[in-house]
Amino acid sequence: MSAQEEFRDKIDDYEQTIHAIIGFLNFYRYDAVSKKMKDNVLVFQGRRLEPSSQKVMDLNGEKISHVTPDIVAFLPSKSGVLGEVKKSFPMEKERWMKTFEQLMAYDDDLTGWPSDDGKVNSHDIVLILHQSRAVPVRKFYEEHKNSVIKFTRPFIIIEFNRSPERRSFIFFRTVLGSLTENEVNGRLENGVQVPMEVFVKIYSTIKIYDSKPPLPYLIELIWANVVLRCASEYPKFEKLKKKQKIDVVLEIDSIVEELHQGFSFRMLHGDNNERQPKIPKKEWVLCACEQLVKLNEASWVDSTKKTIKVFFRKYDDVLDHFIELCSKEVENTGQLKLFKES
Amino acid sequence: MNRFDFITPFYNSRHNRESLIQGIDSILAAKSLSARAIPFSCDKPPIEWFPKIIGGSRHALLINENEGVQLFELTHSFKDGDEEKKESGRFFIYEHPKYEKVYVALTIESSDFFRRVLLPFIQGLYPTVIMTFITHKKLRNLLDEFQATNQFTDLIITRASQRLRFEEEGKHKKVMPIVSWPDMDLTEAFNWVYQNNGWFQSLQFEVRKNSTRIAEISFTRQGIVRTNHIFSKVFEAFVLPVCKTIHENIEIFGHRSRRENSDLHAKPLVIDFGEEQFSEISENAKFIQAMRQLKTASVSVLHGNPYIHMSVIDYYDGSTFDLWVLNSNHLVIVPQMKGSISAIKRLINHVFDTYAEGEIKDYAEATK
Repeated sequence: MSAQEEFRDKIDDYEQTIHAIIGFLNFYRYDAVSKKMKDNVLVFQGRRLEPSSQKVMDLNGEKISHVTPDIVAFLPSKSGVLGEVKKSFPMEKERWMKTFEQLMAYDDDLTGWPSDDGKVNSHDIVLILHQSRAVPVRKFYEEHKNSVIKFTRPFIIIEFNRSPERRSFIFFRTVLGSLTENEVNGRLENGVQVPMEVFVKIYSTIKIYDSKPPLPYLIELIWANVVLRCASEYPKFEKLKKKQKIDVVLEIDSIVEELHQGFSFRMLHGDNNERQPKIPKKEWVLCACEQLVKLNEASWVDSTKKTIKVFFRKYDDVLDHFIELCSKEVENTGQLKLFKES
Repeated sequence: MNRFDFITPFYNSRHNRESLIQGIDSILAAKSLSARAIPFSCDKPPIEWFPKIIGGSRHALLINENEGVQLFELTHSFKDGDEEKKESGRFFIYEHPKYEKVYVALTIESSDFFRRVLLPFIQGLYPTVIMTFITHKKLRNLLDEFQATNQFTDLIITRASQRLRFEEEGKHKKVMPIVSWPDMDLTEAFNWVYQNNGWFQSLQFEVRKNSTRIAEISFTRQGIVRTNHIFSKVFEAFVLPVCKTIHENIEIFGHRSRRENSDLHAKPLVIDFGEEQFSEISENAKFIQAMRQLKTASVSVLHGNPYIHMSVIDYYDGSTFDLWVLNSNHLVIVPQMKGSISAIKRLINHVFDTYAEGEIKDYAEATK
């Protein structure tokens, strides 16, 4: 597979993961009777929760300051759901244990839930996997449960897949365990097709979560939403020819802020955002800007790297342009292996 | 022998809306002239900014104004070899009495003035000034209504310029030349274009009552109208409905930018094709190919099969959009932080021109 194809696959995986997070959280948020979102169900992506004194050390003896599950749902019964979504799962089974270690860290009396005491009475732990990996991972779990993998709280594996039909759905189904919330459990036991069109407004406003996006995807987000906005304020923007450029000077912090405000899970968190990390992380944006500099699409204003001058040009296909440049960069520097493992 | 000069008094009168339309009617009855109308929209009244336009080769000078009507002199300066030349003419701006931000540029000057001076002047003001697009169905309805209301016996198409969308897989047929449609009636012509997946860029037709030729009219997809007689009827039947369409465009395309909402939520639009437009997977490729022809834009495909997700940047004003096809009938257009009226109009116009026409709806209405 070429580097370009790899990037495209990674971008697709990244988007599918976001779609799966949104789709799954909606099983708890959406009231099928009133056809409205429930105000009393709070959902989060990447919320910081602190471990109890029993679990401040991981299995390798390293200190855990906090965990940040992909999925956090807080229900009116003061119960909750924590989960991880994995669109891609490594081929090598020895690496699967890492995910289970992460999930076992959620099997704890964590603090930081949006309740008065920061706790819940109980919570489920959910692993949401692409259908292609769900059964092997379930078997892996069953082989190792009660030995190296142990859960004291309900543990559930759910598979998801995008339907190939003309009306696009994301299909969810439980492959192991039972969710505590009866209504959701009943639906997922038999499998649910969630029409993607229902979420098109959210899909268009949430484009990043707390996992580093593929580089060309993040660069495209920065370019189309921050660089473009600034460039379009110049009088020469409208008549700018393809070979001409506009120098756009941007603060790294302002890029982070604009993407955070416009394209993160922020809007699902409402006022309960005190435990939310700022996404995108500044280091991701710095990395994307470093790449722009390497690709001669920008230069640092000074050595502090707080401000960047981007050379805005009107490309016919911005995403394709940066996929191509990033792929060349990967291939030229012989980083293909490294890239594949990232 | 001196002929009576109708034109000077016509221009010297301070017209209001009514007298302007009647005046053009009378002029056409008396002189062998054509009147042309360009309905358009802009945020600020033209009287406030047309005379202030500097730079460029065309300059508008306000001659007089009265109750919603202004008369301008427009001069085009150009070089013919080493020689500096000028051509001038007059045009009126008619402010629509009901629809704020909707105007009509009207002229009875020569075809050359219209083609070389006035039309390029108005078109050159995009995206501040926007025109509209008339769908195939709407065009047909306007013609039928015009004929029925005025009890004309025939509308005979004399010339037409049509465009056909996809002919064969992977091939996009370019503009066909202006074609004569001798003695073809409306039904036949419209059926032919519809069956060939096309639309009329412009239509020229003769209006007949029994065997009497009443007028020759032309009408373009952008809503530009020309006639040599019965101006008030033409204004009523074509120009005002186009103004209404422009107003509806402004209403439905306006305030779609996420930046206009305090919580930055999105306000999508839907093109409802009303049939199983995307029932075959091969349609995805056709649609993507059509979108890639959008000029002065970046078109990126994030996903092309089985569903479509595209990202579009309009390089006129920096508007951005997400496009989604998630079922067989709908194209969902999600304006991002900036989604101007002109950019939305251009995008939808492009979809209608190069792919297929549909009904424009608010997302909430379309997904009820």
